[in-house]
Amino acid sequence: MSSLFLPRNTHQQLAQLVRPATATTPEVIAVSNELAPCFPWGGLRRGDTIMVGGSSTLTFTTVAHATQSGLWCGVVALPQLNLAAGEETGVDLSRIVLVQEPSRHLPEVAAALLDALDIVILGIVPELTRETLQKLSARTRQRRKVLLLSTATPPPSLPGIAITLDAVQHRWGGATEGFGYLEHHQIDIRAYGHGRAARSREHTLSCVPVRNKQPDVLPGIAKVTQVL
Amino acid sequence: MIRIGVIRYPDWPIIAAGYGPTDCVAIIDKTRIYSSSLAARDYQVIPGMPVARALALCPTLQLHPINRAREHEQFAVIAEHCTILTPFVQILHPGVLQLTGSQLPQQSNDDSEFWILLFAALADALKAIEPPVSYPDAVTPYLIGVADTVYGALVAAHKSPKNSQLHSVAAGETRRFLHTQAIDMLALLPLVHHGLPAKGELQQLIYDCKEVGVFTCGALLALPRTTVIDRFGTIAQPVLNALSAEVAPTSSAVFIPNQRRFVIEFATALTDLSAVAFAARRTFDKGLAVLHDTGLACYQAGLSIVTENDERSERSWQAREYFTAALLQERLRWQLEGWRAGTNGPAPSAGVTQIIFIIERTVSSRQQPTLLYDATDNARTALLDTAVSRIDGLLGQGAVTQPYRAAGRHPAQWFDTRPWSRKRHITARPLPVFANQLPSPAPATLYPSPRPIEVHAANGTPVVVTGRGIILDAPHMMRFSAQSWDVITAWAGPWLANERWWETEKRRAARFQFVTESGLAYLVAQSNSRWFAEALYD
Repeated sequence: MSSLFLPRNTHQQLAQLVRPATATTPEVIAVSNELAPCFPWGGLRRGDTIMVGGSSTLTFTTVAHATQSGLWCGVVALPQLNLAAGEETGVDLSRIVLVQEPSRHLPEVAAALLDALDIVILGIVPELTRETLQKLSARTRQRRKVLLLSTATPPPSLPGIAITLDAVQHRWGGATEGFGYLEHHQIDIRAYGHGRAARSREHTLSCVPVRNKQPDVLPGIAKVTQVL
Repeated sequence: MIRIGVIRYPDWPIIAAGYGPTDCVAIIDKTRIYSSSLAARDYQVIPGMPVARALALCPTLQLHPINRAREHEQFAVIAEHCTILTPFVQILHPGVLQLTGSQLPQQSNDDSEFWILLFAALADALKAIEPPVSYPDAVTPYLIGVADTVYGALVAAHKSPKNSQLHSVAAGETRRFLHTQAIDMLALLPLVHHGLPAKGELQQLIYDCKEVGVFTCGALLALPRTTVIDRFGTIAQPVLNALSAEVAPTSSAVFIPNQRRFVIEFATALTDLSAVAFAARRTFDKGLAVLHDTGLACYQAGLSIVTENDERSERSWQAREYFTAALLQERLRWQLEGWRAGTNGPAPSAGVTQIIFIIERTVSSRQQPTLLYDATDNARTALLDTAVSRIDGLLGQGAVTQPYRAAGRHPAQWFDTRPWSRKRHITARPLPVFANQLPSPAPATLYPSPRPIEVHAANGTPVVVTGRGIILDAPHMMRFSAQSWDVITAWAGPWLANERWWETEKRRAARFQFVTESGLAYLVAQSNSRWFAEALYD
């Protein structure tokens, strides 16, 4: 009966309003092929709060593909992230919005950015209380965005985290006893979470920096020190 | 379409001194005539002439020394009288006034009411200056030029047809009009183009053009642009722009010299945020409507909030395109919220009694301002700009930043941040390479300040690096103060740098990369015999 009275697009709008909280086919923001095996959905599921621990490179890698495809990404309370490394990982820095020190306004700042941007990376700072995190997670779910918590060591019990990527081990190649320099970086990742992500996954990520065709600069006197 | 009018008083120094056309008066600058009245000109007394010669020609000539302050002061009165017709009045020079507005006639033969009102206003203005100057009805002290650009209007005001004080160049005809003008007209350019270099250079350009047979502005424009710029350098660019009657993209925003202020007073101090915003709405509506009638829209607005205890919060807000009353209301709300939060200085201690709304910059309401970002994902960036304004309101301007490419030896220097309001696209130029620059990859985590560490060799003694960067014993283990030792499995370096050698805290640092047994890799620096961990490769 309703279809007699409601125009077609209103129908669709209504359908949007009453869609189930867990959609059968979730919208997924793609990640790079190397990282895709970590996620049960093959990418970042919209509406999720996820956590990346133990590696800033991994944080950058997670959002790199999204920024390249034109999505905007906010970075809040993470002054320690080195953007140069971000660019090498493939992040399009022209799509990055930074709020380095939101201090006690962190909840408002993160909420405002969640309204406008697709992905918000948030540092775990004392201002981020459990209640704040719960509210922000709810907002993320409502707005169909992605909230990414970045930390050196993932705290054991945070509410509402869909999946945690934990960098359990780093392996570096290239440097030896005074020769060469750090070149090859491998991260062993353990991914765990709830629901489909409940089964913990192990994955090794090889980081190949995008070098911007920058000529390699070799440490000039590394060899001399070895002779001595 | 926005039209620009220029009103020029050729004898302004005489009028400012309080004399009319029938008085035989000259204004002198040192030993030369600076300006002479109409009556004096009948005696062939012309500007630039030595005073002694002028007195010989006209013994009754009254002489007055030049008084520029008075010229400025008196001319402000004339400008003030013109503001009743259009709020956008700008004094280019004492004696030369610019009017901007869409109600200025489009066609050259337009006989609109605007002129009648303007002539009446100018006549009143002449009576209002002190002492009042009387002009016979048949003689008007001013010439008016109207065109699409300021320079076009200024030239038109110099080239008025006989027996008419008004010269209007039809809309879209400015370029053609300028082409027919003699090259000498370029000498007027510094009046409207303040960025133009020294007048001497411009004189040289005019002189050189005549030397090579370029006598009209059109002939100069007909020459290949690059050749002209090659020959005359930077000065040629504004000259060519002015002649081709192109409105530079930045000039789409008109600066209003006499800012439009709207003061909202409250009888009782208001403490409720919504009440303040609600009360201000009407004034915003009114102020913007006044602007809209003149074909302009507000692009930058200043909001000052004053409390009962005379505390003030002043801020300038920029719209993405232009402000509507609702957008201004929102900005007012944010400003007040941010102020009350007390992030940048003390919070107000009392209710709001006054709001001052100033229209600072405007754009043509029919023309989109140049967007700073590409317009492909407009809706999203509109949301983003709103969020940024909101956060700036809370944390203070410049809290939201964007990275841009910088350069340096240290990976931390490869990118820097700048306030979002000054956002531009990141240029695609590659990073400049510095000698002894640390190689890629860059460490992903930077410590906020270097963390002191201890580095020992296998024999348990601290590792020493000589002034020339020679390392005497290979580093074997490292630890952060009072933590357990971590064995170094691989290391690279040193990269030497003389840093801040131009300042007193100059230092010489040798940097190393350490890979430890725990799998972590650090960027460490040795300086003044002390070791620091600067960043983490993670």
